[in-house]
Amino acid sequence: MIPVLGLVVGVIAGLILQPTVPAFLLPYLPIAIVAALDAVIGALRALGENRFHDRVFVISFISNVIMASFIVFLGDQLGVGSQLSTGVVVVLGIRIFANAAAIRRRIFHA
Amino acid sequence: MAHSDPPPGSDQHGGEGLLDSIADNALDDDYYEVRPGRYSRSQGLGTFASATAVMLLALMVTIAAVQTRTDRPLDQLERDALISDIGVRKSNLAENRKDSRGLSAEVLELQKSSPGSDPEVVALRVLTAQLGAIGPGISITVDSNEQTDAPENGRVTEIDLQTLINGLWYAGAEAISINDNRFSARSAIGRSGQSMTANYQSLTRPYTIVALGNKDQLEERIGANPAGKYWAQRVRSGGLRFVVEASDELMVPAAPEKRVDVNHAEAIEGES
Repeated sequence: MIPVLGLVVGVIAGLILQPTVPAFLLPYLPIAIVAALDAVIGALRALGENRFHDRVFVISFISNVIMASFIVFLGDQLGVGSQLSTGVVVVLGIRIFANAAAIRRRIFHA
Repeated sequence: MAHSDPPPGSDQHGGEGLLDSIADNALDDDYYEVRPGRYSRSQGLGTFASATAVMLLALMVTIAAVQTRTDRPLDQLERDALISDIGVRKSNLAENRKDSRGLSAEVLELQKSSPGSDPEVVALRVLTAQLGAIGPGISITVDSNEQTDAPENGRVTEIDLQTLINGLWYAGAEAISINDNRFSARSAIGRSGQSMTANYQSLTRPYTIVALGNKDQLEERIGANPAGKYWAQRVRSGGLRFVVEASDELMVPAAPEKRVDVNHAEAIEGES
């Protein structure tokens, strides 16, 4: 129940505060979101398999976000930012879909 | 065969692509490492840490969504402003075009009704020497006696020219010029030093006087009236040159502007 509460609190905080993202962070926000989504979908799958562990979840969440952002940042510095973000999005996207498929299989047995 | 069969259950990574291996290992291995075995219970789902992570995701998504949404109206606003701007300019253009068409029509109307094209006014302007004129008439060339033994009265004087011009008016001339100086109601023959003047312009010999009118009548009358008789006398006694030529098409220019303007005289009201 508490994570759902966290979800609600996050949405409400974002809506109320409406913080403006600094311009230099703007390119990393979408990538960070995809990385975080990957961690969350993975956690949901682990939850379904009864092997969820909060430490793993939090660490994978933070490392995913930081790593993805760093790769894009590095790509920007090297002049291949868009290619690297495409790569990150592709890999994370595949993981997200694979985990989502696993969850679906478990729920619907299909 | 040198290499052994792959152990049962293990994947044939050689045949699979990178993407497939990513999909196969979609779930972080850590979940298997931390607590091996199957179907054990989840742990720490309700902890503050997981809640914070989920909250962070929600926050990021919300921020991104809000930012995109607030940026969109700005773009939309700009586009709307541009579109309305275009509309305003288009209507401006159409209005100006309409104005221009209306004004052109007005100009045409005014040109039609302007006094310049009224035949009565044109006739008046010809009469007052405001316009040049062409028509039949006579051309009289007069000159002094150029012979070395010319008598005292062998030179054309302003009196001679004044008499001749008066005689031409008297004979029915409608427009007169002397050496291309048109006579208006304000013109006069004068003298300035040695040379004669008309419209305050000095004249050089020989003097050619053009008179428009009925050429036969003019020729006949100038020969018979007092001016003609005076000149016949002058030709006889002074040896002056006096040549009359009738023509069907002669031209007199307009008088200088200063000789046709009216500054002080005003028309009497009620007269027509």
